[in-house]
Amino acid sequence: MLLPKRVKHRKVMRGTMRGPAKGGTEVHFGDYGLKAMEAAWITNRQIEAARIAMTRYMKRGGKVWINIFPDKPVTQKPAETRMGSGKGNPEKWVAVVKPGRVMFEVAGVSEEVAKEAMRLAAQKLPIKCKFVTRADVGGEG
Amino acid sequence: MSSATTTELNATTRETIGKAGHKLIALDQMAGVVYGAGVEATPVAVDRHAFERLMAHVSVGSLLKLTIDGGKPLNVIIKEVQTDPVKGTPLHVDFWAVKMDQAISTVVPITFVGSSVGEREGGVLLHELRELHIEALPGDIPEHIEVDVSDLEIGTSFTVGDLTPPKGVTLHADPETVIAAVTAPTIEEEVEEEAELEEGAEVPEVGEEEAEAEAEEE
Repeated sequence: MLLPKRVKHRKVMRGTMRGPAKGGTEVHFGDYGLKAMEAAWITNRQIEAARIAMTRYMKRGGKVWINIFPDKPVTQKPAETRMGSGKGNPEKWVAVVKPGRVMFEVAGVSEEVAKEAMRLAAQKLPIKCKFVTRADVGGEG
Repeated sequence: MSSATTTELNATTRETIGKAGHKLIALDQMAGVVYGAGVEATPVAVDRHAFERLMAHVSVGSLLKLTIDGGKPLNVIIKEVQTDPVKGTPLHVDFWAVKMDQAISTVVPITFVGSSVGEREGGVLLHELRELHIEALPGDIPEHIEVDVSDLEIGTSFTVGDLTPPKGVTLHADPETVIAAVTAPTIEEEVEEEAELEEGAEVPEVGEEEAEAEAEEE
């Protein structure tokens, strides 16, 4: 599962997810991609589940790129705890994803296989997603 | 390898500049700018649907004939297209006016033809390079450069050095740059034990490791 090797601070503030993605909005490495249409925190478990769903469907063919990395720690207070006594414990790692971000890319498979693999991957994610091809994005050839 | 074909597009000069250019969307138009050899930078507006239809056939770096307000057609190259990050629709286009007798540097897309031997044996064809930087006269710029990958086996690659450029075209890339390669397929391995171990592991903070090492030394 994806998580950082070491971090500068164990706990960070939640931040906001306003506006569209500023980068990573085009298919760069593969031929097809899965684009986020909403903003969300994607956990490392969700990324792993999506990756497994995709690679299992594609069997041995193709190559998968994961363009997001869960580098943000999310804390949680234990159940039935009174408020106060400081911030909770780090419980999970998330990637901040904003609309327009191409999260996964694949290459080396046909469009039908890539589309179905991305559909299965999108089911593991908490947001609406869109299947995109290289030609759809940025007007490349 | 096909030679460049020119396409035509009509534009009108635009008064609204800056963020007001987004208002053109309601009029089924999109903002653009023309600049380059012998042309003062001019904001223009082009028909959105005509441009989208055009982009289905051409790409960034293609040569066009652009008529502004019904005047003399200009030879322009599509320099950049800005797109909406979510919808993918074009928002703004840069047209670069060029002189037909002056060589220019631009990028052309690479198209891959043929089915490689390695793919038939179960390998995965990876396109490492999608476009090439070239220098040529505007009239000699090809629409795309074809790369025949049919001879590629697993573990072999096609580099820029293996490419024969079209007549009048100079390639601006390192000859050892890989354009396409066929690799062995990745085999999905189940590593659940490792995943469990990782999940429970505490991620150290920067400086924590050094502090621990110092404490041990003392």
